[in-house]
Amino acid sequence: MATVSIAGAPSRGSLLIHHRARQFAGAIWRLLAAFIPVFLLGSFFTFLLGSISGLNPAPLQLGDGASLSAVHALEQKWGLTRPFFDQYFTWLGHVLSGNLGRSWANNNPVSTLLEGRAIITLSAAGLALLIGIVFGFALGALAARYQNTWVDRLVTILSATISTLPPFIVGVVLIDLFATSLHLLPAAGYVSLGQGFEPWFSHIILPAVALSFDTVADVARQLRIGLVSAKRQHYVTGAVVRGLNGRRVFWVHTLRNAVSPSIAVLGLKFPALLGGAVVTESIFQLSGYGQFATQAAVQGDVPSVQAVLVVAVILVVIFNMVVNVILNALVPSASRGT
Amino acid sequence: MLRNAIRVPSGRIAAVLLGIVFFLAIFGPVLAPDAPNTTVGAQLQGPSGAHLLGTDYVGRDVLSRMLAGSTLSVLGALMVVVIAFVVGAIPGLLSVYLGRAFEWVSLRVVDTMIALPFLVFAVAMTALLGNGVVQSMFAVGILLSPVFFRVARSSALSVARSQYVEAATLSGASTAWVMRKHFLAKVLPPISIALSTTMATGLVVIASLTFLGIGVQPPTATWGGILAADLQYIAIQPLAPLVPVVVILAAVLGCNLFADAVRDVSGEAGRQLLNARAAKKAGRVTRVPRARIGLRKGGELG
Amino acid sequence: MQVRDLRIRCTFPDSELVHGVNFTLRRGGTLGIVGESGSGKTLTCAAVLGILPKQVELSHGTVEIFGSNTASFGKQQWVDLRGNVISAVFQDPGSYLNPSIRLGKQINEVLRVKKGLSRKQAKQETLRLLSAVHLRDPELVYDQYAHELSGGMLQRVVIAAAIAPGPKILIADEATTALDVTVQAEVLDLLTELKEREGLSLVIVSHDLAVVAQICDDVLVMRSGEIVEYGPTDEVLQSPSNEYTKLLISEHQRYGLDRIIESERLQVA
Repeated sequence: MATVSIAGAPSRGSLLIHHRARQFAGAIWRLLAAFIPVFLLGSFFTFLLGSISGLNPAPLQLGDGASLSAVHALEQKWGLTRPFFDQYFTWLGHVLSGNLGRSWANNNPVSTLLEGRAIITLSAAGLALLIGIVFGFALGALAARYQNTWVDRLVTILSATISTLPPFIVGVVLIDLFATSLHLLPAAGYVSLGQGFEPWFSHIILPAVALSFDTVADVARQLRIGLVSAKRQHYVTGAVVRGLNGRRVFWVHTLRNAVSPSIAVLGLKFPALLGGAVVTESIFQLSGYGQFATQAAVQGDVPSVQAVLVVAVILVVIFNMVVNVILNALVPSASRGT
Repeated sequence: MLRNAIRVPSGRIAAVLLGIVFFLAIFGPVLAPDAPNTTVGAQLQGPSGAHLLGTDYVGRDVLSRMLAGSTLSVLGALMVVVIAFVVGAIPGLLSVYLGRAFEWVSLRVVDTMIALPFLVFAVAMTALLGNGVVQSMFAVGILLSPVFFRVARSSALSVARSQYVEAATLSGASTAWVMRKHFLAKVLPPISIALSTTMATGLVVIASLTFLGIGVQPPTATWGGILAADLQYIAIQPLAPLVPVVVILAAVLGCNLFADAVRDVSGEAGRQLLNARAAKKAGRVTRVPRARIGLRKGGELG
Repeated sequence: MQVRDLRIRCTFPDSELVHGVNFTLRRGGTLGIVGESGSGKTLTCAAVLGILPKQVELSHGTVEIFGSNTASFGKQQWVDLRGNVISAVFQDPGSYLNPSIRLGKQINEVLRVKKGLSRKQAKQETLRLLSAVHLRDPELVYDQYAHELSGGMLQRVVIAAAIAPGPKILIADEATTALDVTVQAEVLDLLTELKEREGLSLVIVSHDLAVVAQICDDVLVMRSGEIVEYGPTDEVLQSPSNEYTKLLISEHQRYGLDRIIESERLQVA
């Protein structure tokens, strides 16, 4: 069957391509419209925080007994006497071009200070995310498969319980159990992946597990609800009637439409994983970005704190954009123009 | 509603736990057998008759420190809830009534605050603004305020858009009666759920901050601070960290169970559950709607 | 296909929903099942397809399809039966298609799984099927999603997916309900055409006597789980023995059923 197109008039195929391109552009636009305000406001809060703290580099660079004129000269040098918005937009411009500023404490570029540390935090948070996805999906699928049986109730109770356990409590109990009592795993420290997978993994697994509990619970819950409601949909019956087997119906038809809430939850949980790093890193003595943030904040090293916060905001925004793109790809009908 | 909440088992456990927690918060320092910051015995001793929970790394009585620390740990969290409520609920109500521009801006601000990595910001805010107790409560309170913004906003929306208030007023009911009967019945459950879940979060966050030594520094006793110190000496006293762990968990559990109980007894499903329980008590055989149990944890409030 | 004394009961609360249904579908024949909603016609179909909902079970009677009794079927046998031998289309076709997968892919999937076609063969066959159900632009429809088409077009896609593995029996459960009248007629024409061309036997389930009268050889009238009338269509329509059937027919005369009866009478004469 050849499609006959009248010369000059666009064929229906090219119309469809055009239509898809418009939908795509619309999706990109909605994505940016949702996340640009978050980034701008997040970076604004970050900068504002430094500004209203009223701190200056003098205590860190000149010591306590500095003269007023010396302090003023220093403020001038760091540009702290300029109007607020002038300072903000200069800083924002630098951040967007990859320049995170220099630490007040040692004059080093913050990006260099953060480099090695971010890897540690992202290892722990990434592994926690992975644990959350794997165990959350397994538990949620199990509960949905055996809906209204003891398995379902057990999973429900389990996820309700573990979601109330804060990461730092879980961390302490894990150390007590696996490091102090059983001597199975190291209690603290970090070994880079370059020195082998096993040492790296043994140091990072406990912090990751401590961080992951909440994610496991929420993913399991959302997946269970998603699956239970997807199972009832007509398109599942449709697939069965067309003669597809149970496994195929589940993986191709039910799961695809049931996962969106649990994937959306990952987007919501990511900030908590990054935030939780502050405490877990302290418990497991990992010198990640959370420890860096705490030290810098206590010292009053404003540029370092701002850099850490803005990097966190950027990570959250990027992660959520990825989640959004995945959701749109999985469930195109949900992204219809609103 | 509160009376109903106590009629389900989770509500009863919550009431007991919260009762103990608040009792300790208020009377804890008075009940402490020793002064919290004085060395009273040998270092790092296990539980004994003289020191029921043993002593810490400088020989202070752990029980006394736990009791003394409960005030700051619990009332600190309570202050956080109050601040979050005020900071969140007022703009939440205004967002419905003040017009489009304010609504748009406030919604963007709330979206952003929810997306922020909460603890990092709490640490940064507290430390940069002076690293004191007051700063930490305001920092955490402000960061938790979106919960109440949303609850207040959705309550205001449901009232603004509903016809039942108008209908009741037209049928001659007094404003006070309308408020009591309809508005409170609709609005009170979500607000109490938000209050108790925020209290749980507040307890955890205050414990986390004091654990890091942010906001409150040693030697002032707090549950988080005691936990941090215990962790340093875990090799000598492996069970010591469990004391603050259990106490913090019990407080958090109390708040969460209370939220669950309110969720269970409010709304249509709640009425059914209460009726079924009453019928069961009266000796008739009625099926408690079981399937619902799996769903109740489903949506987070917000 | 033969259905003998089919009884279906609900286990909770315990009650019988279908009280003994008998019918035979001859090869190449068309059977109509008419009844109001709740009369048990959809449950009967679900029993035939082996997709009764939970807590509902076939308590008595047999369904025999090409000589094999489905009562003894295991999971795999049902999977082999569905699609290859018997298939079905329903009301609200859009909801029976996966909203997140392109329409072409869904037919493609059936062909690859059930007939073992390669990707390329499956795509060709899908395009052929889409044009066989008279969709104007198969290439376009292939890449579209369910929410982008109208109800009539979706029912054509669903029919294409149902007949893809080459079943012998097609059940159309209220397949034309909720479509507007012209589209309804087009879909019925399509079903009749497919019946002739692909050698299908049809079961047309409808609450609408007119739909059944148009294309069925035999008709079965059901009410609250029981058969009230069963026989060749023209006999049932012209000399109904049951009060309920009479009522159905008299109601329909207002909507033009009489003209169908008239034209059939002419054909008979």
